[in-house]
Amino acid sequence: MSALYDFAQFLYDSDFGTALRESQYAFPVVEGVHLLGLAFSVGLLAIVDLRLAGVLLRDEPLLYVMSQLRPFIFGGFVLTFASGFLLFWALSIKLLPNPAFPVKFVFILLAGANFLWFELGVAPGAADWATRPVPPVEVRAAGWTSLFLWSVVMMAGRLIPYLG
Amino acid sequence: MTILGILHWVQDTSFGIALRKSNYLVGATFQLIHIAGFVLLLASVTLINLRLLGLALMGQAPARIIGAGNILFGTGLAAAVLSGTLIFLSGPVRYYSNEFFQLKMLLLTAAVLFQASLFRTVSRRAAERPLAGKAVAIVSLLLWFGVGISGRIIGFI
Repeated sequence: MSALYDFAQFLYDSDFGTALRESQYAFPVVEGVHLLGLAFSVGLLAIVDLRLAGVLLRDEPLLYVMSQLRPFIFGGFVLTFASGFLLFWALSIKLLPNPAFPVKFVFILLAGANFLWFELGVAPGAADWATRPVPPVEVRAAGWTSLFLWSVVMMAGRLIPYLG
Repeated sequence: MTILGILHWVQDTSFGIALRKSNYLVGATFQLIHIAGFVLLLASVTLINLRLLGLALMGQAPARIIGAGNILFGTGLAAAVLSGTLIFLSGPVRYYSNEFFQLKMLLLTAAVLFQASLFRTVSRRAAERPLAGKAVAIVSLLLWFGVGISGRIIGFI
């Protein structure tokens, strides 16, 4: 734990971290980019999740929707994580005691675990259900679970300034 | 009566006072609904415009993607506007004086009007006229992303 605090203190004290924290426009613009990254990552993923859940785009083949949106979702996550790291660089030591911050990361890990479970455990059987308007229950469950977990991540992130 | 005068009056109604004096977690809850609604809206705008730009889902007719996207668009816009109105009413004079709030409202008005008029007409016929579809997609993305970025800046100015 103390290594994490030392690292956070190092980032906080660095020239770049200080400059970003004290800038009038750069910091809010990075916040804005973080939001746009979310539209591609969590936003487009929510559309895939709703297709998995059998709610949206029922008539479009599931695997086609997933493969078409995947590069944009991954690109969105790169943008979200990169801008998120810059925000952490600027605020680092102030974020660690914030209760919303660990919640956010636990739920990111849970969402990652759900993704791995889907990719390794559910997706290999796709030939049986990929063209159905409403997929079988374990696929729908993976979709709803992803939607729920990423919503919690986003909300915990938005609560950071309120609980700090 | 000036706009600022009206906003002062709104701020001092019992509803305005109740909103302003409410627990900070009430305000945080409005912000959560606002961000969730807006991300849903941005996701649908991104989905539809990726198709119009020819970058994704080219195997499907634009009209089908637009139809599905519009359900999310309507839901997201309703949630964002309702929660946004309550956030605004918690401090109308303060928000009105913020230049990025003014920019956001300008872009939002332009985005909604554009989406309801030109975008609607052109995107419907995007299958026959893909170039016009690409043009309205770029404008739509710029307007809605502009709303998002300027909105995010409000709290820091």
